[in-house]
Amino acid sequence: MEKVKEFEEYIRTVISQLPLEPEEREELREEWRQHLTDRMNDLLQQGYARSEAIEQAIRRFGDADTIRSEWMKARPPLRKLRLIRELAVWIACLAAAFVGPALLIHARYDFVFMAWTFVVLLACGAFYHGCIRRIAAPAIWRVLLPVMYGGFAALLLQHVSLKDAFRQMLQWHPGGDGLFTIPVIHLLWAVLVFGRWSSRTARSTRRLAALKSSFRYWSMILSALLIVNTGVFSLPAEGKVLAVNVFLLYAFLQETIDSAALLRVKNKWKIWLG
Amino acid sequence: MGKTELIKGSTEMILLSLLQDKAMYGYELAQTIERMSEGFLRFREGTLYPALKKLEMQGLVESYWQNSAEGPRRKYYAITITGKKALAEMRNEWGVFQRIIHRITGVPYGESQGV
Repeated sequence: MEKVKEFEEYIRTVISQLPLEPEEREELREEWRQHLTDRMNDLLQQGYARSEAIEQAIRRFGDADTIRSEWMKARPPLRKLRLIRELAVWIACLAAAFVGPALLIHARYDFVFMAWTFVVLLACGAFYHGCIRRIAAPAIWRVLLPVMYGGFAALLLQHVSLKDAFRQMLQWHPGGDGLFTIPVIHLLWAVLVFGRWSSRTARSTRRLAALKSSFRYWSMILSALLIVNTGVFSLPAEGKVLAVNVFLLYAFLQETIDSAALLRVKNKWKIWLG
Repeated sequence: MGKTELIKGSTEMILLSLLQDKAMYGYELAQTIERMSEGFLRFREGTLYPALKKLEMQGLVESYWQNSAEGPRRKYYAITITGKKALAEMRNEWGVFQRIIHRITGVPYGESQGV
């Protein structure tokens, strides 16, 4: 599709100030560009001159301020969506810490597990929001993702041989490491990428979202490994295991929980029950 | 109350009604509204998208990208089961509203006047 300069400029003025995720912005751009072009083509067929058709297409779409304010009213603020997701992630992680140790290593419930999980979650949140999410350029994701994965593999191979790593990949024994094992880490990654990939958005959007999530996921995994391996903190073994597991779960949930979907479910319930 | 105010209040119902029969993309919706209302419902086409977004956030409508018959891919909107239920409720309320307006003002409903 040819891009009409006036349309591109108009769309930019409308959406540049809207609080949107990058993928959302791209989708809106494409959708509106299509709409304006369709209108222009219809007007051209009716015999309008090109410049007139462009001008009228924009006028009929509406002035930037109106659309912007309507949009702000239509969509819950990004901050609210993020807060909902953060809460959901914390609740899920704490719940996992509540039942996980008993399920996986038959440990008895211990208050210390919960308290420690809480502390680790604080660290996860600070690192994830303060650092990883700040990196918002796809070009950097593309470069850093292999670096992160390479770092993970390098650390891993210090402890196990390549052959053992492959063997572990194929046979998983639930046990002392909880979820933080080679196969589970990869499995969760696959789930995450698949989830992004199967969403019903445009393909370019999905590719970008999968890349973004992968980058964030592996950044969290690598930092968890670095923190417990460098010996900055002298932790008991259980503390280390719990910490890496919480990091893993936190990273996975941050990239898979869709807070807009949670809101939708809530609203659907209201309609069916009320 | 001006025409635009009236339109605003009924946007949700109009959109859900149109999507009830088939999924449509934004421009198609704008054209259909224009055609069916014989130009009476003139609105800023761009406001269609926030309205659709709102319905989507409420779980009444869902969207997906698909190649259209003429070629370029477009974002289609389809009504959900919850959307159908919500629409039925809106229709009900609208009927009651019309009856009451009729009772108070004497304006007949069910037939068009001057459109």
